[in-house]
Amino acid sequence: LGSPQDSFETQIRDQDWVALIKRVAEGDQFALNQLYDSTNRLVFGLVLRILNDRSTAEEVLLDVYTQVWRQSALYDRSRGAPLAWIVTIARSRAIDRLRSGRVEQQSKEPLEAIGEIRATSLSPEESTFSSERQRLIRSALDELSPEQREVIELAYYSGLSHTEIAAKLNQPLGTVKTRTRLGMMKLRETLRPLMEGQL
Amino acid sequence: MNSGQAHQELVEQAALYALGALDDEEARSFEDHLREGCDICRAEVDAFGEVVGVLSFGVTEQSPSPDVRERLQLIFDQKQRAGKDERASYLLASQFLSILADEVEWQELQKVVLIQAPEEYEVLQDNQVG
Repeated sequence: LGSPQDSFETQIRDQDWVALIKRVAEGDQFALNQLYDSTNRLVFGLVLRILNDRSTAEEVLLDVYTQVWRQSALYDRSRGAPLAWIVTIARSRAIDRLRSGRVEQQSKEPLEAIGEIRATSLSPEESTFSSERQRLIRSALDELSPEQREVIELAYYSGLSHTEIAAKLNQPLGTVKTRTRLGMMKLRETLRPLMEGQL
Repeated sequence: MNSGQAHQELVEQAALYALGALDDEEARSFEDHLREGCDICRAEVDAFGEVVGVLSFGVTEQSPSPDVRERLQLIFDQKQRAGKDERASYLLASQFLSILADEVEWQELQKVVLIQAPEEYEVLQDNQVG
């Protein structure tokens, strides 16, 4: 197996993803390799962000692609875009692992994570469609108030419920709910062009 | 609380549901409500679900160890081989059963001939040997 470093996810159109998943379901090894090569850096980035432990994240990454392969025959395009399907599996597996307690939760505090993202500059090779999408999402997150962003990140990356978030932050439940809802509404507005344009 | 207020509270839960932030019991109640066919809440969940889906693309891409790809390949190879072995075993079992069925059928035929046409039995025995 080779190990292409460059993500060519952006060069693959939606219907090509569907065709690729269909070939995986038929037991096409090359298709599975291609799917992995196209998406593993994004999926691993997400899983690592959730688990904050490389070794565990790599185990989960393997689980994710094994599950994608096993479930590829059941994949239904009407239930979501192919890449979103893979990413949903990845987030779900990573949060399951986090909750299983096998990993000591060492995630950075959300406010530190904001600083980390703000400090990240885009490298020249990132000046692609993919990095443009990434920039837009980060920019949308930057537009949230720190409090809104904090609760959304705790729910998204740590899989915490609003009750758990309220306990963790020592804030009233109603406050957490409102912050989350307003933050999500703002993201929906800011990200609307991205979602409608299928960027 | 009137039904309008109650429904407004449910609509407001859509963002939390899409994010997976509702407590289990609340999530179940909300799902029951969706199953009842509320188009407003369904549309809200779908819209916020898209936001949640898109958020994943904001993470910084990271490279895993090449070992992961090799292990995935290994698992794939093993499964494919196990699948082939299973198919081969099935084929062998089918052939064996087919032979067994032929043998049973042949013995049944011999019994019938022996009872109904004993004079033909020897001919039948000769044919089997042939």
